[in-house]
Amino acid sequence: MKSKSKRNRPLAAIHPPSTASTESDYAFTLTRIAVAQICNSVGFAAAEAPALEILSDIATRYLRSIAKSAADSANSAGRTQSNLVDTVAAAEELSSVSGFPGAWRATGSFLNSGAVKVLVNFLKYSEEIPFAKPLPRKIFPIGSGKGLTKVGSNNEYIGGERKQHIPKWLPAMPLIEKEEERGRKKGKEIWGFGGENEETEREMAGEENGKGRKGIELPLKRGKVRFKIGSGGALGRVCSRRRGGGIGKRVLCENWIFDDENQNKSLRSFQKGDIKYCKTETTGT
Amino acid sequence: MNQSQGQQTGEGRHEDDAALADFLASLMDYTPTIPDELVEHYLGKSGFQCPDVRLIRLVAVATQKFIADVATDALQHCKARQSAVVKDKRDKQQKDKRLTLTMDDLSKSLQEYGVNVKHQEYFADSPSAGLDPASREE
Repeated sequence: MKSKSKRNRPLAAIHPPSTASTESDYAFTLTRIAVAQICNSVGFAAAEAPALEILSDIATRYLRSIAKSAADSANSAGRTQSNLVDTVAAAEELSSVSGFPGAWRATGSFLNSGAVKVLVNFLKYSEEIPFAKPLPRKIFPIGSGKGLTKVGSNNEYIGGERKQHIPKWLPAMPLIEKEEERGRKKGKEIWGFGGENEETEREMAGEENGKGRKGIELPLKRGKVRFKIGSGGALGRVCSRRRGGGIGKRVLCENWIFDDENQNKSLRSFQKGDIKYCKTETTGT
Repeated sequence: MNQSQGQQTGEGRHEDDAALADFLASLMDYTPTIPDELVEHYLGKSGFQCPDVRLIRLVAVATQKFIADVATDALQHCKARQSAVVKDKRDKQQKDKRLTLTMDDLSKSLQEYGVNVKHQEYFADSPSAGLDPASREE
């Protein structure tokens, strides 16, 4: 008889209370740890596994019912986001079973709600026990697979998105990726060619495009280098124009010329004292 | 009677407002035992949308208080049960003074909060395991 009960115990551990199987296991495990910490803070040194399981199940139910109540009151007020009024109302509703100071007042303001005052006292007289281990910000990431593939940009799957059925830890499939990359190169080259033609019109914009391409991926830049052989003349022109427009020396010279002209004008128009000043400046240069 | 109440609330509204604001501000520094992320997950599952961390912590604190209350009641039951034991047995129990959260205490304390928990009597291999052989045949 004893051996039989022992044999059956693992079964009970595998199949905890029915709700545990419907909940996500990770969240439930975390709740159990938190509840165990609370029990420990109250004074318990140990807990039976099923008791702890039930208490953490009740904790999740409490959370969900308070959320449902708050969300309902927000929705009935025509809002999608719950605010303090909804939350306080939900807390009052849930604590109405055991009662709270001021519950007899049917039309009390939410500002001096007894349920909240009880919570204030609870915070005041109970010590702060943070959770055993700090959690990452997103515990239940639905789109984390996408984020991972974005980080390693070459490890993308078909269509740039990871399929739901492929586990995260699997490496990317190399063949498909190459084909995709080739197609991309072609597209980018054509785009680059168009960009170069535009460069004759807009030099600065062309420069920016080039920088952007450098930043994205290395192989794409190589493709562009190969392509330059065909359209070297156009690029050369671009470069010469760039030097003409963009490099500082000549701009400076033009400015100086412009200044000289101004000075000449001023020479004619201004009085003698000013003229002397201008002369000294021109001799200085 | 009602008028005096109304005046009181009118006068005290400002104080209540300040007290509530202080409480919410103190929640920013407080870290509840139930982590924010976990609470957020369960709240989100039930349709509770709120970008404010303070409200999430308020819910966390409410839950924490509820669980702590239930656990405290269970602890009192546990202590009462231990002290009710006959003396010579009590000496034995004092050797292992560790307080354990048991199903009996928990179900008693939960009953006060409107939750009916029944302890599983035993674990069976199949639904018909505990029945009499005669009734099984029927």
